[in-house]
Amino acid sequence: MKPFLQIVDAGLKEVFGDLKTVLDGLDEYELHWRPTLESNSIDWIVWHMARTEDYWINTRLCGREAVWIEQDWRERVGVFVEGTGYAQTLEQIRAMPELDVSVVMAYYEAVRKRTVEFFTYEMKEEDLGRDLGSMGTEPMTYATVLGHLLAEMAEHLGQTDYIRGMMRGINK
Amino acid sequence: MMQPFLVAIDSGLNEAFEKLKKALDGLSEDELHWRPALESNTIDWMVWHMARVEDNWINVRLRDSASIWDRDGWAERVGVEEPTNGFGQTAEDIRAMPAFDVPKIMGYYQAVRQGTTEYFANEIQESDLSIELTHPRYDPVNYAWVLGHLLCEEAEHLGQIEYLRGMMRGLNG
Repeated sequence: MKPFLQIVDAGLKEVFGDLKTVLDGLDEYELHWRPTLESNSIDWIVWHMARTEDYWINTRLCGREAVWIEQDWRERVGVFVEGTGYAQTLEQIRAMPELDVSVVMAYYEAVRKRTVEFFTYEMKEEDLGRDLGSMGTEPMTYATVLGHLLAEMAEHLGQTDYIRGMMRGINK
Repeated sequence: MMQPFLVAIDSGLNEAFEKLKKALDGLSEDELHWRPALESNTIDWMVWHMARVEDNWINVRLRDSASIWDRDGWAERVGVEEPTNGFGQTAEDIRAMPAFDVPKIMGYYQAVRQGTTEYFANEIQESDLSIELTHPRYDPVNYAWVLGHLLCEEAEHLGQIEYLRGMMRGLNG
């Protein structure tokens, strides 16, 4: 891996590996449980995480079709909503079909593979400073997108971990 | 100007810190100290832990120097005598800790962030990324892994704090 990408690459791998550990052995009820009416459930968060990495890497940085569309994951997961889940209302989330987390994780795995290919073969160090407009009030470049992506993925990982802890107790 | 290989991690850590300030904004002491389940962490403990974690990884592990916590007497200023960064504490250990003064802890966290920014601006070089170091809990790891892990760990706890705020206040509350 090129040195300038090693940090983000290692972080995204760690998120994915830790997520598998968090999901291990959870049943459907646990995956779909929400501690309060307006809190997200683990299954929705996992789908949103995979869609988010796909969006930032493929749609935004590579400027090509998302893995979600290109590899027909919409049909395989059975979810046809537009977008990554960002800004969905509670009603929209409730209207979504049941998510099969093992299929969603297969999609996430396909996204991870594309990201590693992009890092290994395509992205160059001079891309880091390329201008992508702005995010809120901050200027957005390839580098800030990568930092944002890792932060966002890890935030959601932490949430799934916390929900598991609420249900099962520490380290169970 | 920040060396290009550091911009992603630097902006990610800055973003997480700004989002943390937003997630804490206006929370009462009761909210900061609430736990949804007996074994769940509270927001105030997590803020302290996040600051200690960044301090240890950057200053103790990567810079091989004293933590800012020890160097500048923050244990006394914050009123917390716990020697670890919180990792491996039991539920009983945590309950035995004194009440946290979150604004003071945020003052410590701000000092840690400033130290990290200076380390990025003036010390670390791209060739350092492959330096290996040993750690009691991990296989041999290099500087690149530590930096990715650091943002990962900080953002995980940030996400937990945001989730807790959402549980108490509702979506966008």
